[in-house]
Amino acid sequence: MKNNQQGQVILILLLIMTVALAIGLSVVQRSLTDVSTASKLEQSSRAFSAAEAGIEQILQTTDPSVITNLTENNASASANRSNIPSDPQTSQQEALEYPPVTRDEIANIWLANPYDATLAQFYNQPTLEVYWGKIPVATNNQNWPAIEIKLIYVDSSSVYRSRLFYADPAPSGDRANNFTRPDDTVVFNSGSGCNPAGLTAVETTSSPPNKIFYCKVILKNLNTSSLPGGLSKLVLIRLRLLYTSDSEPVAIRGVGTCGQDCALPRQAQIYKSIGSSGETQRTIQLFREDKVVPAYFDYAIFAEGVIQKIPN
Amino acid sequence: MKKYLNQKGFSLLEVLMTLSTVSIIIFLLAGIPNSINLITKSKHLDLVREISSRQIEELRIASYNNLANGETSIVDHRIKLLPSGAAQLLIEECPISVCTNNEEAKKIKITVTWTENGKPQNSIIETIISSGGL
Repeated sequence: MKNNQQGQVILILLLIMTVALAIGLSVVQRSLTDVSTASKLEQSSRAFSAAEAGIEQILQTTDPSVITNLTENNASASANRSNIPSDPQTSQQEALEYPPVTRDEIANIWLANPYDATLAQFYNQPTLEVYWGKIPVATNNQNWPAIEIKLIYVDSSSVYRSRLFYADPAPSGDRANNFTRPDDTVVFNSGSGCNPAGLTAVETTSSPPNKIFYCKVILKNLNTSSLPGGLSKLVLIRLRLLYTSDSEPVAIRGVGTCGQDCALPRQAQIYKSIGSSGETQRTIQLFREDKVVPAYFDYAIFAEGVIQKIPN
Repeated sequence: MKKYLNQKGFSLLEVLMTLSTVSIIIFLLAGIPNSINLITKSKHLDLVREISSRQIEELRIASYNNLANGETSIVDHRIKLLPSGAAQLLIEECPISVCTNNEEAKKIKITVTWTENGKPQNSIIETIISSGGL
């Protein structure tokens, strides 16, 4: 009796079954994920609309925080406002960082209090630190960030004046400008300079903390005898980056720990609104600087003589 | 005596394996129409989201004084990609239940309706627009 069993059917069947199972399961899984994503996206846009509604509401009130309920839409938002810098009295060791500026954009930082009807004096120290530039810096010399610093102050005869400082970290002779090197101790206070001179990190009002900037200059002699016309109060400082094609951070830091006299006044407000719908949350953050004097008025304010409008 | 045992046929194991393979394949094939439905449904949800978002953006860009209260029909070429699709825009003064400080603002409600396999669906997005706001 011969027991001749030959066959490959089972093997073939197994292979076919595995392949069919794999294809089928992946199709099912794709479509399930698709639907789940689509419904999460819908929830997400409801949450975003709620977050926008929260910002609209808090812009209209003076309350520190606001809750918006859009019950028909199954969405709600919680919004709050905060000042920059957070508390002038205690934040003088923090550098006030302005949102990154590109070439020819101007960063305005108030030194007197813009929310006071008489623009009352705030910062009154003889030195002030200015930070700018990000690390690493491009090695091609087209991109070394130079800075124009315009300090606006009221002199002892109550006239608005401005004082300009120019600093350029490019090697001297590279660019045909007469800008000061940041480590020049005649114009700036000692301790000024650019990395890699071992600049220590500085705590700023933005995250992450302990930020390192490319350059630092310490303006000095900001006091009565040294400024042209004498000094009644410091008002505003304008920072403008030159030559660089990137957007770079800039910051100002007051020197000393003497309360209001060493601190910077409130500059701007940040509104943050978190909208939620179901399990999704969307956050909107708005930076609003509402007291800004446009830079082109400088030509009118600081003119030497009378300004005449010539009719055409 | 010669016993000629010649059984041609299929063994039990073969039959069982074949049956189970064929039934798995049938189940998977039966799932395909369902998958196609789900994919279409997610495509529709995407369209609805796009239509609503664009409408809200356009309202925010427009001047606040031009927002007239009332219900209007939304015009968007994507609406006809939805089966029996229609979209309504409702603008009203922000009710006290939402704008608790009685701010000068308008509540916007966008309702998109369409049918999925004959079943009516709708999606609503609400937000607030105020003068001098976003």
